[in-house]
Amino acid sequence: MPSKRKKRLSMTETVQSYAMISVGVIGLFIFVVLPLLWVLRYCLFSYKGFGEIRFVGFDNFVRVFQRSPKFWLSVRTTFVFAVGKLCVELPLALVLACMLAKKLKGRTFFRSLFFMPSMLSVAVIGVIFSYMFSSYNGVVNEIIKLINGVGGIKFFSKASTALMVLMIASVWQNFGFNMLFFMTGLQSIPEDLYEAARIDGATERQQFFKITIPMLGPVIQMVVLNALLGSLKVTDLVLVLTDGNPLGQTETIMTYVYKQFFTGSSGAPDYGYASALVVVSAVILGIVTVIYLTSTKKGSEIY
Amino acid sequence: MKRKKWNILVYLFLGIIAVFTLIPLLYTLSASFKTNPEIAAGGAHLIPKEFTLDNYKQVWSVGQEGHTFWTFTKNSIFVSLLTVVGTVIVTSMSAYCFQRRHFPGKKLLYNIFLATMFIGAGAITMFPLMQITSSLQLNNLIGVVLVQVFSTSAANLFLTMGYMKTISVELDQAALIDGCSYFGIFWRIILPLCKPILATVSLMSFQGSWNNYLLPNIMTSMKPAMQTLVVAIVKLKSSGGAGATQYNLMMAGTMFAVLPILTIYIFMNQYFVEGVTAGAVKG
Amino acid sequence: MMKKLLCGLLTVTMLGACLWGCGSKGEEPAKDAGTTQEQGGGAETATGTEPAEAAGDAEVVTYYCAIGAYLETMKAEVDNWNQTVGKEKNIYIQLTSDIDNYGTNLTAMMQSGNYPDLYDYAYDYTDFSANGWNYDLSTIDELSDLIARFEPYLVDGVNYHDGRLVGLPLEVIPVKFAVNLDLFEKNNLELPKTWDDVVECAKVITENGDGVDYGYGFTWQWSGGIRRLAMKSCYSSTGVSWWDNGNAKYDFTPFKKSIEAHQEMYENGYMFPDPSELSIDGIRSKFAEGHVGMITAYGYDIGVYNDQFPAQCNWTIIDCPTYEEGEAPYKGVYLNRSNVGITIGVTEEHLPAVVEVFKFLHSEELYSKLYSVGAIIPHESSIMESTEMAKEVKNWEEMSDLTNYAPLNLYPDNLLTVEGDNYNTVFQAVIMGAAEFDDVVGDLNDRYNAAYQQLKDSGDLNLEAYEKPYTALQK
Repeated sequence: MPSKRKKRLSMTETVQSYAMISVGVIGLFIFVVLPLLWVLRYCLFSYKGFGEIRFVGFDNFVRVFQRSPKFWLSVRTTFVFAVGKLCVELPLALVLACMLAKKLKGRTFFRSLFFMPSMLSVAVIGVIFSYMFSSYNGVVNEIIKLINGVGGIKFFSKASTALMVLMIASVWQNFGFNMLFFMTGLQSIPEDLYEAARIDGATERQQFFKITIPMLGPVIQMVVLNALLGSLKVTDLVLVLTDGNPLGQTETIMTYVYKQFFTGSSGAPDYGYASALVVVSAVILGIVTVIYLTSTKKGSEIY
Repeated sequence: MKRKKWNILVYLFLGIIAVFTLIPLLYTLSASFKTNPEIAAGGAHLIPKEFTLDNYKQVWSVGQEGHTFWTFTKNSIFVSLLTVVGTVIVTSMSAYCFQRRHFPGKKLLYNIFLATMFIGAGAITMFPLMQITSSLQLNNLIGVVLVQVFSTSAANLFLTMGYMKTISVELDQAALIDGCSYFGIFWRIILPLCKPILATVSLMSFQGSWNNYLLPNIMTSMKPAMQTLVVAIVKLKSSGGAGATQYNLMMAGTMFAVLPILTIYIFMNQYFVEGVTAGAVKG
Repeated sequence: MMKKLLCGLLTVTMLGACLWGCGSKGEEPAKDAGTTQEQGGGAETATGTEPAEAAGDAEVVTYYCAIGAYLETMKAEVDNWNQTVGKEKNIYIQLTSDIDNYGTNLTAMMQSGNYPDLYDYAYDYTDFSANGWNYDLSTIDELSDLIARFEPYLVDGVNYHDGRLVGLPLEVIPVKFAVNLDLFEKNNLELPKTWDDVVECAKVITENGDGVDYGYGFTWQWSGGIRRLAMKSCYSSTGVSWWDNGNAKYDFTPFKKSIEAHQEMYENGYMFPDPSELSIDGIRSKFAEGHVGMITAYGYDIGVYNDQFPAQCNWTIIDCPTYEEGEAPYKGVYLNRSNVGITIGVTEEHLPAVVEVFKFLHSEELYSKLYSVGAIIPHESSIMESTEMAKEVKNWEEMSDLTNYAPLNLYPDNLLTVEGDNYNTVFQAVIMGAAEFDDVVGDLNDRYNAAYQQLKDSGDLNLEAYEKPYTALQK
């Protein structure tokens, strides 16, 4: 009796599972995988958008690894950007989530306020921040002049300060969302755990580190991964705010690749090289993801 | 005493962050009341030298071919709502299956989903997407919805899965013993427990869809009747290099576009406020 | 619970369909007539009078354009035509515009088979011709009169691609200099004639400017900003651009004077801060406010400084500076822009309607109207002479004076795949002081010539038009 039931269950299980994920998988294939393959098929060829499509084997990849200093510079810039910004944004989001999960006066106000930056479209953020950090009469420079008495900083003329502005803008835009994710995670931690700990005499800090963080484990893991990948793939914000200036030193991986596809009036695109770039950057991001997932595996196990 | 000191610190911290958050928002608001030359002139002042409501008037009467602001708003709402519904359905079911169930090919599919997260921004796949949607006769708002739902499905999937991990497996087992089918477990137990994360995912996809410019723009290029609000507003702004960019209209339009999202957020807030799983598993 | 799910799905689908239905039904003429009239009053500021909807059975001709500066005027003209001539002939022009991303969107549409009927030939879409997406206009008999009218102005490579006529001329866009007369007067300066003068004037204006006024306006945020602002304004002395048509090779060395002048101005801070953060509109608005002494100005900037950022100072238009003292063989260049093209998506039955619209878009009346509001400068001087200005457009005469101006030569930049940085980036580095002109120009020339050779060898395109010896004088 039991074995027969098991067999029947596993059959229905498989069928039901397939039925439930079918929509997602089919949709993914049609609307995501297929276009990607379409783009990637050029990686072994050379094509300008007109004329012949020529087979060139691995030439494009050789070019990516040997003759693309700007690409690798953008890789470095991107990592600096992502790591730098996440070190600020994620702890901030977590701390805010904890503060606002408790009963606090004005909680709704703060939550809504912190969420508002992510409602603005990137184009608007770019315009506002470039005016705020303008070296002629931007508000940030006015404040600096007040404090320092000296002339302001030309934020966009140096790579380091321009990157800093990008990081600030990105943190401003995204911390609200990450805070929200952490808050939902906090909801799932049963209240009685805290009660039990309090009865046992644990302090707030102990409760935080021994209950909150471990229980949030899987949520933190996924949110951090999402934020990391999102930061590594940043495009719109950079294009709108600095467009890679000065001198291409604030290019990120994705803006560099984007510009290889959409060259505008600076020349014909080389779809082969651009596809090879997409492959290489996907591999880079994939390696980062794998390293991240394996090293945080422990954190995601609970109970 | 200690409690009070702690509270003060907390409020101080929140206050600083609030100021940091507010300043750019206030600039956006003030820019929506300024004339275009004044915006382009820059400057640190928040109060417009020349306060004007013209921008709002112009945005309200935005239109090509007599399609009004209201049409665009309707389109935006339609697209965003459907995107949310689609996302929730697809994400919840897929996350449940990957998280809880075992079936052949699971690892492979999981890795494929993961892989699509590494590969780049949407703009690059625009050309083939256009071709695919055209050949499927989906060159309209439904097509926009489908593309939006599936292009973010991987990210949403992982976030939901992460949250589902925190739901105890014992609940499943209890339900199984009680004779529940697998779909039943999903529908009756997991789904309600996932309300917070699904609320967050819905909010995120609503906002992403609402503010999405590139995709709807290119898919509705020649059909002004189908344009979404953000597309129409950005069109107001741009005249490329051959004329001046109308930042003032874009700012005013943004203020309009923000309102619905804010409303939905406040509406969703209840899901974040209530605790959901208090004591689901005891002992 | 299956039932519940189904019910839920159905409800949502119904709701969705309702909304969608409402949205698209809203275009029915009967329903909208009421709303458009109500909107009429309030909408005057933005779109003029609201257009009436298409009559249900009129033949629709879709025109996807990239018009920016004079879009409102164009819309008004199109509406006018729709309600007069269009009604008679039962044709309706559906005008949609897109300025950001126009090229990308258009390519995406062409690739996927969603052809508009007419599109703007604003950029050099040689690949469109190579892919066979556009019509050869010379095969359309009804257009032969029109073609004959434009005959003196047709240029191989602009209007013809590989022997196929793909677009007729629309306008000329001169490249000149805009100068702030107030600042020049205040500093007792004479209008600059050479690039050395420009640097001198910029120096004096900046030094007396107290951190508020600066001598020169520049930005590299505009795509191709250096090409547009620093390179196209340099032809008066030599008549040579970076592409030497006669010898079929690239040579960037003549631009040393201009690029080094910019380098000096950047280094010493004579440029309005800061080219990295100002968009083209940012620097234009600063000029309009009267804080910038000189800036390169194109034909459409007249509209900008009259309507969009009304100039608050006394300003004028002068010819671009020359490399050396003395009379230059000719005074400057203008860009040669074509009007619309017809796509291959137009069927035999639809063609007559499209041709009607095509004729309208090239009509003397339309060109005259656009000239009268300071929107375009047509090729035909007869139109300019016989048109009265509809309103006061400052410095329009100075801008439209094209005596001794030559059309910009054809260059194959758009067709090349150059490895490494393009010249915009290289020159930006020079101007910022990160490189010296003499060090980089040799490599730049080599790379571009190699790319051209590669294109030629591949045989993908017929490059004859780019190698015809170039006579710099206006016809």
